[in-house]
Amino acid sequence: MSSPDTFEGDGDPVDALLSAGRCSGTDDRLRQAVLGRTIGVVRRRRRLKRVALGAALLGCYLVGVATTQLSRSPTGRTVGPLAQQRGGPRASAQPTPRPSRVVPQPQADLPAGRCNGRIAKVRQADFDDIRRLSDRYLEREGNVTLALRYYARALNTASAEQRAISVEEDSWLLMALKQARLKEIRHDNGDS
Amino acid sequence: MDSEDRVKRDRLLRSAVLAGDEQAWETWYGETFDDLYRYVHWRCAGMQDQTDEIVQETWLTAVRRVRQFDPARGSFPAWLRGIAANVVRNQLRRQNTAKKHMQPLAGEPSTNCTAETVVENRERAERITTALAALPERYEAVLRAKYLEDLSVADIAASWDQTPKAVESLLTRARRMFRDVYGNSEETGRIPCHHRTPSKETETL
Repeated sequence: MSSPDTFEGDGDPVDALLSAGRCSGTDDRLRQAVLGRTIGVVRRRRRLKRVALGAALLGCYLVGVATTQLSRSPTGRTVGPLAQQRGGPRASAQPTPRPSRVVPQPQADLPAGRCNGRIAKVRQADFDDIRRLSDRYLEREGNVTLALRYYARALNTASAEQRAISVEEDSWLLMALKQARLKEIRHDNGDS
Repeated sequence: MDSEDRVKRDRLLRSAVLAGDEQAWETWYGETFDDLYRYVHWRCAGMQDQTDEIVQETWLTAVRRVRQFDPARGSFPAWLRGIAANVVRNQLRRQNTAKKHMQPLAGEPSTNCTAETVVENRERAERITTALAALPERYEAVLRAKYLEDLSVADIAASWDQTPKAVESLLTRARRMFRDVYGNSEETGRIPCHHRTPSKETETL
């Protein structure tokens, strides 16, 4: 019976075969060479990570810029057509800047939703106030529908002088609306 | 080192290496290079050129696939040995394929004893490498513990939590299989390519 420290197969010729590959030392030259190559892989991985991070940050920045641009575009779109429309009726004249007006604070600061509820109350309001409000809808918010509605309301309370077309003061929409009203009146007078 | 500590440490090193920390890689490399070299040298039965090539390929594979290393499943040196064993097997397959296409040299056989001895030693080393590669993982592990790490049967039994008798039995079976495969390759001149499946490797002692 073999003791725990020995193996009964010891002394077998297979021992020599299985011990053939034993060595005590290592190859330092090989160690350095392989270390150099593997360190290179680690370095490349670090550089790739940095490039990927930079690309991700740049992508986020570009997405943010694009989102900002898209959110501004409704105002931007109305500036172009408005400028073109104003250029049409006054083609023979030099374009003059619209005179700046002092907009009454309470009405100028009203948000669109709340103005809808005040339609019935604005019948008695001044023509200029309603027109200013309509101008604001048209120029700042690009809301042609609401601007048209308030221009119409303003004209309903306007005097003959106020219903006349003013090239310097009227927006393209108001001019168009005044023109349409004039035609309507002439047509009615012509019929009658 | 406690097993939990070892797992924690290996995880930290792995994360550092994946982040590109050269120091972490050098630490791992410095701790395990010698053991891996000696293991591959043993597996290659002393063939220096094979050893160098396999050591290099093992380390390059390890650094590229370090993400796949799971410290919970085993230690870093054990993972490296697994890679080295696969590299050895692939090398043997390539050599088998190359030998099939080789033509015998024409003319009289050489009478140079030194040259013949070198060739014989080389062939013997190749057969040893092949026989070791053909063994199941469990057999290879016990032969490694006995002949490379120079552990006694009692030491092996203690580290594996087995009885000395069970380890002796495993050693006997491993040596028998090694002898059979070695002997077969010597007689036929062909190098067998055994497919090792996990189910065959799981030995109940």
